[in-house]
Amino acid sequence: MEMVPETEIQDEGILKQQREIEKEVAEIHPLVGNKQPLTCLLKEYMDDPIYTNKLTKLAGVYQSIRRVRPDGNCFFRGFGFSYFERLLDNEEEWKTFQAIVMGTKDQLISQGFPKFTLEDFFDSFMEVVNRLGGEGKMDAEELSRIFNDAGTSDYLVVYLRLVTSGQLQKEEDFYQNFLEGGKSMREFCQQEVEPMYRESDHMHAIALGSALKVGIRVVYLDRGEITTSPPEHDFPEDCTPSVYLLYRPGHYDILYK
Amino acid sequence: MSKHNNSATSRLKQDYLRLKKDPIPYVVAEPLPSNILEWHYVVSGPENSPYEGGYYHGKLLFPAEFPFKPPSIYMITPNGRFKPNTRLCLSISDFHPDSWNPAWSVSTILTGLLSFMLEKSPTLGSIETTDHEKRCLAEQSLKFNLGDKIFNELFPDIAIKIQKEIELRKAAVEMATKSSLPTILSTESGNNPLPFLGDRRVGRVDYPGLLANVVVIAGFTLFAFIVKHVLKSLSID
Repeated sequence: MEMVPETEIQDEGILKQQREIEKEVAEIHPLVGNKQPLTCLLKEYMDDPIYTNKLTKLAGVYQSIRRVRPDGNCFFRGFGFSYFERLLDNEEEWKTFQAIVMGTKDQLISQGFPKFTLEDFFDSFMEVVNRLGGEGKMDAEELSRIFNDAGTSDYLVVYLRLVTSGQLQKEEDFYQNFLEGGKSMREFCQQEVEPMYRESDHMHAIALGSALKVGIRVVYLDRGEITTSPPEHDFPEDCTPSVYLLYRPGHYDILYK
Repeated sequence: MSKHNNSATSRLKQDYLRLKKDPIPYVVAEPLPSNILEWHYVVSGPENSPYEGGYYHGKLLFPAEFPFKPPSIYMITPNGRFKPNTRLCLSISDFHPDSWNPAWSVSTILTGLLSFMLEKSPTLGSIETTDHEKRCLAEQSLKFNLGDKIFNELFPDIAIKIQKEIELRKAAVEMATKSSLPTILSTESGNNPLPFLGDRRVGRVDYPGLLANVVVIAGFTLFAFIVKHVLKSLSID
């Protein structure tokens, strides 16, 4: 029995449409944009008193924002850029981070990740990390260029995804509690962590932050009625945040104090 | 960061070296010399499967965004499992970009394709046929592939192997035809008509004669099988 051809035509149509949307998004949004004052967001929400109110409060704490392309990778890309940018000014922390990243490769291979492709992503990641300090240190402009070169930028995202997946599986007993819908951790990682363009939530954030020993603070901005400032969460809990991200439903951008 | 200016090309080159170093069972693959984004593969039907003896040629089309986006996968040789020349919907193909993992390599794709071929679960682009039909297609695949220019260019070794296989089959059929006149080869008279046996001692003439009889019988059996096979396939069609 052959499958109904209409399904195929429909699927082709959906794929085509999806590619067009992706292309459009890519044209409007750079992978990682320039730093802008946080108040620029006010323009987007002029008719929205809740957002305006929250943003005004937020602007008292955070000065600027750097937008990240909304392609499902924004958490990883935003995290990567923000932390690398910080390392450019923190030689000691950079050395520690270098050592941590070095350790992730063998850890992931020992967990059964395919060595050949893993090494490829690790090498590319390390190549960039190695240049965040020391002799051949790059400047902020070059970092921005690297993150806006799709090939390299996506290599960095993939490695962060693999590290996250490795951590989730290594500490499965802990993370299992967050899983919904009877999925196994392996399945969750294969479906929600490792593939590109899959969005991230707090589980990804805790795992990535723990694996690389980087504190992440996420500020939540949504339409929920509150009188105080927008809620903030640190991942992992009780960490000292080094990376600040603004979360609006479905999307992360980078925040600056 | 020039290394990744063209990430698909550099990654596929690495995948190619890797595949040469660690070949995977039953599948070989080669990129087009003119375009590394188009690879052709040949699956050799594994033993104890209805594909045994068959060769299945297909292609992988990689997007410029590989390895961040998956390739599309096609099968060219009629095989009874996948519709020929139709994009296949597998978790490793571009029908499911959401489940594609950038850490997967060409080896992973080909291994996945083979295991999916050996399964029976339906998907978009798959068809259902009986094992018998698959076996018939396996047999026909030899000739089909030799008619494909790219197949011959990229897989000359397999093409030669197939050519030999076809000749062997032809020889078997001819032998079987001869066996319909079995008395010609009778050696009872002792006067062997074949010149190359002329200088042999009389006492040993019987030996090749016996061998010839065995070959004839074997050929005849083979012929009977082929006839049965063909009749069966005709009755199904």
